[in-house]
Amino acid sequence: MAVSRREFLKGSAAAVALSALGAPVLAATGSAGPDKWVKGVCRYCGTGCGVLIGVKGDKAVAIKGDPNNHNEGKLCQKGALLIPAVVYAKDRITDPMIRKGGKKSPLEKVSWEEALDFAAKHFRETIQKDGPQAVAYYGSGQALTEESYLANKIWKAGLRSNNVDGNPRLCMASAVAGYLTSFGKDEPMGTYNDIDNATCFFIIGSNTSEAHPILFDRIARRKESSPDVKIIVADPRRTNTARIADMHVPFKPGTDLALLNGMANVIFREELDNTRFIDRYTAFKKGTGEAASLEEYKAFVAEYTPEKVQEISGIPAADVVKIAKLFAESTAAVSLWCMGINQRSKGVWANNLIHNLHLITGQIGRPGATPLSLTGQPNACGGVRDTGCLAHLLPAGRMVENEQHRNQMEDFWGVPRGTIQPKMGLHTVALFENMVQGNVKALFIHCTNPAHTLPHLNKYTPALEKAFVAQTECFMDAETLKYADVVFPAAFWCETDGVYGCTERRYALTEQAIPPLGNSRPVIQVLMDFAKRVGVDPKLMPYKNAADIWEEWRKLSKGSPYDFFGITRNRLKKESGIKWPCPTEDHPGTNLRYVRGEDPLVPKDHPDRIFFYGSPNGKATIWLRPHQPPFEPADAEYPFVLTTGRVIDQWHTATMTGKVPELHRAYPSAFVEINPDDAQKLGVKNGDQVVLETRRDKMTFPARITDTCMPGLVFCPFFDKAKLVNRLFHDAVDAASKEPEYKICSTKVYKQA
Amino acid sequence: MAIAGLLVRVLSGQAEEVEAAIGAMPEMTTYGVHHDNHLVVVADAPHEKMEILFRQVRDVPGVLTCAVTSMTLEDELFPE
Ligand code: SF4
Repeated sequence: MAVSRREFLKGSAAAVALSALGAPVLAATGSAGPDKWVKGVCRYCGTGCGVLIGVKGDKAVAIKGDPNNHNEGKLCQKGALLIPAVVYAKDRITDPMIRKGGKKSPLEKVSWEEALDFAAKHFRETIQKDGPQAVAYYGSGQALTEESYLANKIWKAGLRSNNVDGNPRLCMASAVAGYLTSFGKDEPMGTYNDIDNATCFFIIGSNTSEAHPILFDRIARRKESSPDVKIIVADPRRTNTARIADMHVPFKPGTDLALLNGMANVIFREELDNTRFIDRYTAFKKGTGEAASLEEYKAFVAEYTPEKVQEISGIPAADVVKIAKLFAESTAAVSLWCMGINQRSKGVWANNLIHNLHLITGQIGRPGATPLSLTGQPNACGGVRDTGCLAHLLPAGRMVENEQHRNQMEDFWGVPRGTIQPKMGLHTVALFENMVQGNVKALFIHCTNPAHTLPHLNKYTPALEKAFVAQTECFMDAETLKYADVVFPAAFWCETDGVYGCTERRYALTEQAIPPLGNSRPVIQVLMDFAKRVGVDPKLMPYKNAADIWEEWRKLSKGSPYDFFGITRNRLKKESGIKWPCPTEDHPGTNLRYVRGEDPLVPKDHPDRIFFYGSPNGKATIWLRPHQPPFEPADAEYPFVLTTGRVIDQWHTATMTGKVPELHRAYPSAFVEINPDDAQKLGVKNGDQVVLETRRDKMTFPARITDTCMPGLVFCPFFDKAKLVNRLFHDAVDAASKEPEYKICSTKVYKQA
Repeated sequence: MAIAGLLVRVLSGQAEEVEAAIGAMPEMTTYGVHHDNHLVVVADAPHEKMEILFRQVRDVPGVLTCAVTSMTLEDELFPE
């Protein structure tokens, strides 16, 4: 029987969907379908789903989930709609542009030569006049690993400026500092495989359902597999994630440190602690860094009785006990968290306290037992954290302020000892503050949109008005373009090749599927052409392509705690991601980091099953960290708490999802969620215009009355560039990680007159 | 027209009702209930409409998650 081409395509789509359930796929026959499928990684969130991009001629015509990657062939709607709406967006930037008459003049199309010369001249003259500390690079957790590695090398070894930072400072710096202080090295010990083995999920400060939908699907699958699997969602908002929770625990925003210490107290009180594990694998420290004892720690957390936690957080005392017992009594517990924990003035402490729970119960280093911080961007882990593309870091866990580390990098990069400046550069908020003050005069922005995403925007937007700004960008509607003096059109996603490293230490390659649109170019080429014109020695950049940079970075990782020497470009082409450590080409990658017999960096004959080799004493640290309120809690004058976050259909600043008419229609503009009780008191109805007034600014949003928010809390998504909600926020940062507290500020809420 | 393959996870015991609800949408073809609580669904619509359809599927009572397994636009870019 003849089958129409359309029926054939539909049948193929059904077969692919079925195969994601494990059914064998019958080989497709016939002429329909793309000419080839090119392997890659989704451009959006830190889940890092594998994709296959269907190419016909030189056009991307289809996308499907990679069945061999962790997502087992599934994508969420954002990933599935990357093609064609984003790749072929009408406002793609395809030519270099400059402002010839200063910030107020229009952007004009010019040749690549003119744009590069224009930018390089400004940087060169700034360095000559004010020194290398007057120039900076501001990068992104969406940039390719090769791009971030190269930019870091150009700035720190070529231009001799450590002013290298980026948007991961705004989203996961607290998770980094949390891992470092608790375990001695950054990056998690667990992987997504733990989801399949956990019997308890403790999800705090994460709307996994909307921010990481494919992981949520995996958690839902685990929950379905056994009635014994329990899910606790601790969040001031009753988000979609709570739909599968056995317990949703709302609490007053900013009081989770009390909850976490209270859980530790219950665990000891109920004798659910794992004394053997504590004795063998952990040490205790006070906030001062001074050593402490188990008894001191117990006495410290004993103050956080369930009743006291109730008083601070509003969580019923009985629920505090119940959560602690569910967590500690389960056979294997996974904690998952994201920006609700990280974007806080005590974000590092909150991270430490989650790790504490795993360490006192031994819920770590076994399948299904691990803390696992979720990442917002697709390559903040692999691209920025691991390559050391931040102001205080050097590659593979090295620190700028450590002379030995600087010397190692200088030797490896072939520059004289003393080339890398000994003082760390400016972290994001300090960088923009210094731009406002006129100390930093030229900024190279790659793949990010700070005019939309910085906190306290009214304070920091003048920085972009004052400094010379060179920017790589793909889309014309990025807010920061208003301030750019030079715009370099960047090849987008599948138009170039490079590696992404996602939440679970998995490195995966996106291969070039189609040619760059118009005159856009791969960013590594832009960076090298720019740097050479500024005066960086070309010998520092002996690369023909991204694969050459990967090769250098791979060799640099050898013997380090980030060892991925075994992850060659060829392997990346064949395999759908490999999890490091992976020191040799025949190593399959590591699921349980720090565990003997699993992690190749733990000697096979090590006397202990678990060895935290990143820490000088080989032990993890349990920290004594008290509860502290947020920087700006609600008070009599500003009685509500404002928090921000994502919605499922929009991603970050919507420069990509905003292109997809359907995604945009779902949430065309920002709104404010208000609890029904509050709405009644305020006389606000659905759709009414409501004013949010903070100590910085006031803005108006349409109201959505919903019990998603607990009373006293209002929520706004941050994607909408017409309503830059960060104008309302303060710029308080965590003292250790320098990550801003985007999640909590106090506000007045009233109906617009 | 674009074609998307979907894998819809439903709350246990609700597969039949969800299948009926999705099957009643004109752009959707269902391909049966699998492993008790998964529906295989194919959407056939202009790509601009796809997300609305995904949303409609997500909003059907009893649907827990909706993953997209493939999306092809070939017929839109290269009509027969
Ligand atoms: S879950 Fe994240 S990585 Fe996966 S398809 Fe969706 S946006 Fe892409």
